[in-house]
Amino acid sequence: METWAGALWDRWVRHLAEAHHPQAEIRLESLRRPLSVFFRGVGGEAGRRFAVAERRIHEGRRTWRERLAGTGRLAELPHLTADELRLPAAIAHFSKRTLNRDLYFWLALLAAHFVPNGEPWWLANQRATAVALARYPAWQERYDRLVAASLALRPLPHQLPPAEAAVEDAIRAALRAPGSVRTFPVPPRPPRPVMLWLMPHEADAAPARRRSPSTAKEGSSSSATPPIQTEATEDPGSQHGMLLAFRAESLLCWAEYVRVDRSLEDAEGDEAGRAAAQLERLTLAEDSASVASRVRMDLERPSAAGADERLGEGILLPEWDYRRGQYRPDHCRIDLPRDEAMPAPLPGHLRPLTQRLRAELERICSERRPQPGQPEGDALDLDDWVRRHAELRSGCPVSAQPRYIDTPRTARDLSCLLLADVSLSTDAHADDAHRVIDVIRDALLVFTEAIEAAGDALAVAAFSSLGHAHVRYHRLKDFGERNGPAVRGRILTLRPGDYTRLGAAIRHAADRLAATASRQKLLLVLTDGKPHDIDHYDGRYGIEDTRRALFECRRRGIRPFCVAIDREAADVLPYLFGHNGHVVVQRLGELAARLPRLYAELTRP
Amino acid sequence: MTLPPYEPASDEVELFEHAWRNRLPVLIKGPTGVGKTRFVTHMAARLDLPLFSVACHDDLTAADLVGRHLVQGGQTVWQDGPLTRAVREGGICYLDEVVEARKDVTVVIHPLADHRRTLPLERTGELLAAPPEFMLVVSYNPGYQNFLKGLKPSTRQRFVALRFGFPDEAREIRILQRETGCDALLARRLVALGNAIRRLDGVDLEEVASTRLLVYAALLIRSGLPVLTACRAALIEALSDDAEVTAGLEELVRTVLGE
Ligand SMILES: Nc1ncnc2c1ncn2[C@@H]1O[C@H](COP(=O)(O)OP(=O)(O)OP(=O)(O)O)[C@@H](O)[C@H]1O
Ligand SMILES: [Mg+2]
Repeated sequence: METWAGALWDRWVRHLAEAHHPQAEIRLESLRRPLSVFFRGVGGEAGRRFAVAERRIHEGRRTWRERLAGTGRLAELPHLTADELRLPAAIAHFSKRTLNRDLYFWLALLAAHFVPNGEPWWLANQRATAVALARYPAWQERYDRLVAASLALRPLPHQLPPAEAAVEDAIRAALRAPGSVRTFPVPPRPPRPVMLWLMPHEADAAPARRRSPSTAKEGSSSSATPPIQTEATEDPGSQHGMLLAFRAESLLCWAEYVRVDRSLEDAEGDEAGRAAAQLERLTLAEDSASVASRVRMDLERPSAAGADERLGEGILLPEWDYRRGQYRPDHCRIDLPRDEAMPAPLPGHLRPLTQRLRAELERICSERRPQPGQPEGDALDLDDWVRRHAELRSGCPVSAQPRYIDTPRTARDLSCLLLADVSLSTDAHADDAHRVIDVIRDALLVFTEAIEAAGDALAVAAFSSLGHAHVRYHRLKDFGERNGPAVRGRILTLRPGDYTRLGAAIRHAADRLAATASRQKLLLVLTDGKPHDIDHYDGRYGIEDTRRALFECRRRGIRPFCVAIDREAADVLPYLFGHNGHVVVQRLGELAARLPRLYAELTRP
Repeated sequence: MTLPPYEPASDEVELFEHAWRNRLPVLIKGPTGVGKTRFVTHMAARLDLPLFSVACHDDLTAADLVGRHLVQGGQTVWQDGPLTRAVREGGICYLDEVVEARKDVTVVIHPLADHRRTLPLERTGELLAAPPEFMLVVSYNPGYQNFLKGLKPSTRQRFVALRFGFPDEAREIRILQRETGCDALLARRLVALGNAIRRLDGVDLEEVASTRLLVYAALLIRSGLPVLTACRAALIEALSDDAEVTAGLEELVRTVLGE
């Protein structure tokens, strides 16, 4: 009886403490795409990704309820990194769904106006809030509702010791009237996180410190606790910026100015620091097993990360460095391993599907279009006949030869290269029985068989990478090579590699496609995620390089299209491939059937 | 006769007049709904010329432009197409989205668009010489991703070209106010919304909000529909079929225009 009551009590208290309303919960997953559309629309940088904030222990003051329940220590704090906006995986603070949803959109709006210029967090958040509200006054009402609801979840100042109460008072005032708090009391301990604000992030703190010597003081204390200052920063820029807080006009100019400036700051980013910070983040993230194995890989082969080792012979390709706005010439080397494998037949379990798809593709791809006015054909061209008849009667000299409507097989003149990502993450499990790599292998086998029926030129390749000097491009089937046991054997022995240097792989594939004589060229990219490699090829850098490589493709008349097998990647895909340039396959089991059908749709005459 | 209102971007009105006086054909390129048709209508009225507009499509043949024989009550009669009428009457022939037309259309355009300024009518054996008032104007939207279609250089280089883009903020506000009679505040916010949506070009949307759509939204709001309802119908659903994108656009509307 007692334990039962205890459990009930426990549940009740926890429930109260976490301010957790499961019935009103909103998940980031369901809002990822709308949020990124919104974020770009309100002026956020197009290349920024939305990611899940990792859980971190915060030392902040907990409410009595939380202490009672022993919860509230772990929090997913929203924050900006150099190229991501990290948001909690789910928000259920409030009992109303609309409020929880509004909080996501508020954080996106705030992030679009947030300028990490080395100011202390309490100042930077106030500034971003004031700018955002000045620019979009229609948000004021929703903002006020969010403030009221979030203040109700914060500890009451009069119940705190005086020093903490002063901090809490300052936070409350800053939330209610952003821009009004210009000095901040030294907190005896980090205050409770403010859910309407973006938290400072260690990864950013390091470069920030380097950027401007005058802000070093608060930067140096930032690793464990949020940087706090007792007085306005000495940085003249931010001091003046704050004085302008309520003159919307100048504030906007200021924000524009700084946004341009930010890319310059990035250029000096401490690369080693960034890598270390990233490693740390990976270790901290607790969700996926493959992440852990990636980290292990990094530690095993640290030498591969050695920055600019000179590349010798081989196929060298440039890489786009968005921070400098220029190419790094000959930065990547393509290896062309040709692993000879035992020739193999098509596995039995794929045969019925393959047969069905071949028939389907044959039908779709040879669909015909009627062409009037032909000397020969299946039906009389009545329009033409009436016209001739009229002309004859009006005395025009016309030949009496009737014309026909013909529906010839349209000659297709198309080359397609299927490029599959076989990075280590494809080693992960798609479902209980299959790993992603198995699904990819099946899909490649079925695709190769099915496309044969369409009669188009096809090449199939897989890639992975380990640093810029080792981009492995496996030629599974070349253009002009007959499909058969040897090709199947190569596909069947495909193993997961390391990382995903997408830009280099795309550039090399594009070179191969460009060498074909076809009029239409299609580059199908099959990947489970985002550009990522050890030597800082990640985040914004990898995304921008890939985007550039795709841009080069289009300029060369190659049409890229992406088939993604990971919803996580969904928010960066439009930025890379465009709105109409990608699909996300939700159920992996369907990939093998989906791919050929998609191909048929893309190339439908 | 009242002039259809046109809000100029810079000196395109003058340029058009000079082209007309010098008997040069004009090519207008730009995205949909930014005032290409309105401009040509305006110029025709201003120069007091009849206007013959043709919306081109992929089944449009030269005969549709030039004319054809018809059977009428046992008689056959020749009927002029719009291009022939424009030449005979001395007016402006406007071929909208000219890249969509069949290839044989360029054959009849070429001799009209260079110094010859002639239109041969094969079927009736006539060779029409265009009078000084005649002018050929074509337009196309370079944004569409048609790999196979595009103007051949030999066609392009016969025209004086004008580029139309989205109007800047002040100009678009003036357009909205004049076209719909809405107040300055609504016009300003709708234009801000238009510009927010235009940031999504090529990433989330294939085509972004044109001035035309903003005009529609303003008209619906002015006639009493709630803002969100009006914007959803006039803008959001017109721009995307993807439910996730429209959800994001709706938030943009709420952010810029309020509830
Ligand atoms: N400069 C302008 N002055 C006045 N009205 C304009 C102007 N630009 C756009 N509009 C408004 O936008 C509407 C659409 O313009 P219009 O029909 O001329 O577009 P368009 O460029 O011809 O588009 P499309 O390529 O789709 O035919 C007009 O009816 C008018 O209300
Ligand atoms: Mg038009």
